[in-house]
Amino acid sequence: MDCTIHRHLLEAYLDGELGFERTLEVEAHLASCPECASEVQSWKGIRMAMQGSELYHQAPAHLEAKLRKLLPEAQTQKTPWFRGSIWAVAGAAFATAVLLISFLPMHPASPSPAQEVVVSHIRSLMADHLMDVVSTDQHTVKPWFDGKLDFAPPVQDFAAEGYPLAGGRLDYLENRKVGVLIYHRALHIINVYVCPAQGKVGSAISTQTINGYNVVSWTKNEFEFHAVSDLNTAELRDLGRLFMP
Amino acid sequence: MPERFEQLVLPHLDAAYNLARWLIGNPSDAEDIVQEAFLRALRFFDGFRGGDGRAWLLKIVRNTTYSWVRKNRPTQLTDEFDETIHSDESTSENAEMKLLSRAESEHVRKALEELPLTFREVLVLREIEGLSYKEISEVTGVAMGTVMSSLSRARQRLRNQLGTAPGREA
Repeated sequence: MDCTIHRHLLEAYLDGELGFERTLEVEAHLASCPECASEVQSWKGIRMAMQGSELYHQAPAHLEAKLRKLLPEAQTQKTPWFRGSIWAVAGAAFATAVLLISFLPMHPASPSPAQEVVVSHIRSLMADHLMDVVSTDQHTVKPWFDGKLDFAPPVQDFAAEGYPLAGGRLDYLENRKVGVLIYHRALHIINVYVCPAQGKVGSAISTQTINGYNVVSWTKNEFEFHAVSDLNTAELRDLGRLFMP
Repeated sequence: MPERFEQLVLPHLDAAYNLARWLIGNPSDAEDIVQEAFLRALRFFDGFRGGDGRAWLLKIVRNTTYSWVRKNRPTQLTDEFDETIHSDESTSENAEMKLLSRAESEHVRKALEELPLTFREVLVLREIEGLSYKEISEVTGVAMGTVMSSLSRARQRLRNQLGTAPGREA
């Protein structure tokens, strides 16, 4: 495994979020890469320190007693000052709106689509995330998306060209539901994210490299495509060209 | 108090208090927040569809804490928000080397307390409370992929903090 790609995988390994096979892969890598092994060791040290009881704030005993007394009372006198009033509904709606609006700016600045695609790709390699529908048949994968998305992603198998279709899944990108097509190239896995281009016009193929993963993006027929893989850029671009003959 | 509430929600009082205490930094405010959160939880309990009572409760604790902070310490959120975006993620290798020997609870506690709220939150949920990525995503309302990357950034920051904390140079 390439060491440059390891930060996210290493952390997912530390967090026990990897499937069996990936775990074995990471362990094999750790056995041969002292740098990553010491990275894991040092974090395990910090984790041990964090999980000690000194850092866990247990609720004081009187708090439970207080709640046990308070909660039944609160229930019997459910918000009496609002009872039976239309204002209760309006007030609740207003409060909810205020709450929602005030929470909006809490989210950190959103990462670029290519960055999101790479994180999503890495996550898809974890246990049980890769495929929702497993099929090499485009006539099985395409109808599977029906009713799950508000658009019909173009699904094609490129087995003859050396990029066999492996399946599909639903995912989120920039807070939108998107379709993902999974292709294989030799032992590499390629995720192709498809979503409506939302006004963007057709564009040439562009390439980025993030954390050792290559992302190839293009727009075609009102769809935006992002293909991501650890496969080399040239072959990934070839796949892109198959989509836009 | 409904019996189900007592069985599914009340047992997570420690988790609720731990989160509030870490986010807010002092015991008496944490207690007020937990109390308010339980009142809200009881009010919204009809909407609880079963499943993970802890994640459901922690989500309410988190929202209650944020409302409290917005009301009582409004500058904290904006300051820390800026810091989150413009954080410096570099770590000196020298600091990495010294990390292991310094990883004692007291140092870690201090470093963690000094992290911006958003970083502290994700680390407390993952490392101290032991939540999975999926549960953290439920509690904080952000996508799983974003949980992964903010956790990664938070860890980087914690290490920086541990490595460069003043007065501990060898």
